[in-house]
Amino acid sequence: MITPRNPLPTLVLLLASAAMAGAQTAKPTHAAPQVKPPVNTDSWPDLVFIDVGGGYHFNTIDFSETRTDPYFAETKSWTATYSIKNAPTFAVGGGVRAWHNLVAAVTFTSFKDDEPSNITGSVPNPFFFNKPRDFTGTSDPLTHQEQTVHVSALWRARISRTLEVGVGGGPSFISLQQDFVKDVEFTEQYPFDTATFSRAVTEQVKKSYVGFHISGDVAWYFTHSIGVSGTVRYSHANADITTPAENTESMKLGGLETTVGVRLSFGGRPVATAGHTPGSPARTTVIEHAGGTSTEAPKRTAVTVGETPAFLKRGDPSPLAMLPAGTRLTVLSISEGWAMVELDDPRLARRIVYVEARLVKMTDSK
Amino acid sequence: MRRISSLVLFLLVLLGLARVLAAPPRQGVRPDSTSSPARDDVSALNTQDVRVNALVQRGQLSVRSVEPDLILAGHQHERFDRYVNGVRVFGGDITRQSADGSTTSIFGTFYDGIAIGTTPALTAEAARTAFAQMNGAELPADRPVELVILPREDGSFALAWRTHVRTSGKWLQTFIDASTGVVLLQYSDVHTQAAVGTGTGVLGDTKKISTRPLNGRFIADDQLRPPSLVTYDAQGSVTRTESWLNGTSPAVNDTASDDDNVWTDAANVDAHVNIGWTYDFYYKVFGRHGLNDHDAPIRSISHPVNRSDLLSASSDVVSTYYLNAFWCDGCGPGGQGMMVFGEGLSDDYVLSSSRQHVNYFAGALDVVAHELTHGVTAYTSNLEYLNESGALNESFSDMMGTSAEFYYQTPGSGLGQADYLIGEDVITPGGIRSMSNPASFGDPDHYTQRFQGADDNGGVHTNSAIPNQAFYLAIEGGTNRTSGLSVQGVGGANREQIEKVFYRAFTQLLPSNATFHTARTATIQSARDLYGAGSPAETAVTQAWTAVGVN
Repeated sequence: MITPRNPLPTLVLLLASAAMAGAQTAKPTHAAPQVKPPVNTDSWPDLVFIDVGGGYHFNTIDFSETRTDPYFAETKSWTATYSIKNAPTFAVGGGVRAWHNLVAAVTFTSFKDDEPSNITGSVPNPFFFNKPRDFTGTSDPLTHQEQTVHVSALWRARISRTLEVGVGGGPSFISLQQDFVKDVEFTEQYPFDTATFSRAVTEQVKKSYVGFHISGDVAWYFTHSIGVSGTVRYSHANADITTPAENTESMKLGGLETTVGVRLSFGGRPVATAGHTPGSPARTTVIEHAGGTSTEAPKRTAVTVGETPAFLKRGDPSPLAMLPAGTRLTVLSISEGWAMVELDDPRLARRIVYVEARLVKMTDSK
Repeated sequence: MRRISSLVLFLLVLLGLARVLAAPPRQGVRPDSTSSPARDDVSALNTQDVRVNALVQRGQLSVRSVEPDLILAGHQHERFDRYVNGVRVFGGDITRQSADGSTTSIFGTFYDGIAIGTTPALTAEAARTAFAQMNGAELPADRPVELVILPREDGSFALAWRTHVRTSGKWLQTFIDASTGVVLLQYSDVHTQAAVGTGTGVLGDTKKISTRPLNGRFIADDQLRPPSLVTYDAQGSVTRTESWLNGTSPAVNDTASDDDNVWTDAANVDAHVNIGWTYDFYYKVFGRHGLNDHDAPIRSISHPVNRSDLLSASSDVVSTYYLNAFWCDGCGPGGQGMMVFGEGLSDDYVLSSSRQHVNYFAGALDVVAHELTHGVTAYTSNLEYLNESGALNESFSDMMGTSAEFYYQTPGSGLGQADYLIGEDVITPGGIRSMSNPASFGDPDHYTQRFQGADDNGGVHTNSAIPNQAFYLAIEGGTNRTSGLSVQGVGGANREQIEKVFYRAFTQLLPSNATFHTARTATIQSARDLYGAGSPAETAVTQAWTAVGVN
């Protein structure tokens, strides 16, 4: 049973995840009555997450290209030096928990850097051999933009109620837009002692490449569904480009990028399955991770499946009492393997205690 | 159809009066400074003046510039652009000249009846995109795309977007219809295409040659230097040579040419290249623009005769077209002068007197610069080619020929090296004169030894050795062999000082009948003008003239 608390418009992901989650948690069983070893779901991430953030892309690319053409019975040439610098990046992504702590995610990142190209040129003298005239100039800013779709398989875990970490990797599909200098115009006039840079004619190349990435992320949740995330990702792809100036240039795309943003997560994690009575309808024991105060959670009824220690506080060294099997409880919330229950015991009076969630079985049909 | 009321009015400078002539649109009429202005012309001018003012007031003429006349004090030039609904009429500009506030002339075309809409269906951005497609790349931001009204050849008008595009390496003024984007007009703003080839000169050296492509060939017509610089190939025809010297214009096909711009005719290569270099030398050292300082055409003739015809040639032809190079003042088309470079002799022959071989004269830079300098002299001091003024004329050519050598060549004593010999690269061994030691060729190095006969126009090629020696001593210093007087020269590193002193004196100070004494005085004055009294240059020049006995 899935109980989205925060019905944000992630319908597609939710639908997809529902199937997987259902397969994972609603499998009917007709096994003999026994108490299965509980599955520890405490570290599982939420079913669905969305990350939106920004940061910095660290990858400086320096390269140059030279073009030569016949001119004045010799050769004229120009060299354009490109320098692509670290730049801000934008990232948005999301994913679903596919199995236990394994998450399938897709992230789109984009960064753009506009840097002019420094140009040097040499033009032969029209009247004499070996008396070139040199010039220098700067192009208009040239755009280098990488828009990347990272498809990731992540291992992600909640290591505490508020902290989540993940690592992963996968292929990266990089769409590159790169402005190149196509030609360099210069002015010259009699007596042709000098040539002066006029302008650089530029042209944009668009091409896609496939590479890979690895990443690590951490998120701190300040509510059940909203947290702050940080991601470090290294991606890489080799790009061989035929430039408008008819050169072949190799570039290493990707690089290291760090982003900080907001993570929204939805879809509760499963809690322990404590077994159930044979013949009874298969029923999930998944209960929504309450997260917040107990008053937010719907009250549900359960019984203890065996002798169950009840504690005044989670983690107390000694129980308040031992509840016999079949003790009826009202479950207020379940968190991190503990169920906060309302106990109406003549010996202990009506009070709230904590029991291990794996030792209770839901009895309502919700 | 438009109705054109077009008056092309022109300035009659004399008396500050204007003569107004009606003329078809876009046709200019040359000023007739000898005619008296007719009364109705003045009236027409006044009418047009009123019309200009009215159009200005209505905003249909907009002042583009108002500038004072830099030559005639009190005169002023206004330039207007014609607009219709804020859209400029291409080629509809009007100029108005005035003197002391009174209009003296108006030039331009009044386009009337422009009855087209001025709102383009094609936006400026769309036009820019269309131009960019023709351009093969985005137009630079600073290249304007202008909406204009384009007068068409058929008398209609079209609303058009205009800009320059580069396509196939050409720079084209391009107009597209502002409604449909169809190209209305396109033409190149770049003048004749230039080409640079390579050639092998007389000495076997490879050099660049500035040419012009024409009908699949390349002709020796320099498009890179400011003046018209053309080398004609007479292909051994004395008749053709003399016809051109007598004023017949050579045909384009008479221009020296080559199939692939890799030139192998050494005489043509060197004639064309060395003239270009000499033009450059004058420009770079003296700031001079060619023969007349206003880039008069420079024409030369190579192969005036055939070497194979030597034995059948008359002695005059041999001495003029085989064993000579010359500047023919007043010759050629328009009487603007022509140079002829002698054919020399085949290797089978030597000069009987000196046992020297004679190659193509164009192969020696100092010879070419020498002849071109005669043209410079003709346009400046015009030194009479007789006696001392004639010797000065010859000497100045030797000075500039040698100076050109030192400008381009490494100092030395071999072929293609700079020295104080004249013609040593083509008359081998040794050349025909020496500026450092005139006596080695039997020429005088001192005024007392001057030739005083009538031959050679009073010894113009002999006595030139005396100012030549003075020029040499002023640069290099040393002792005159006859007088024994020493000169403190400025040194080779400062040779340009002496070159400029003599250039200034010979082109600007000397009268046509100058004597050696006049030349002494003028060059000393020139040195003082340029470098100050008591300067090393003045001292060197003074001592040099004294050393050669010219006081």
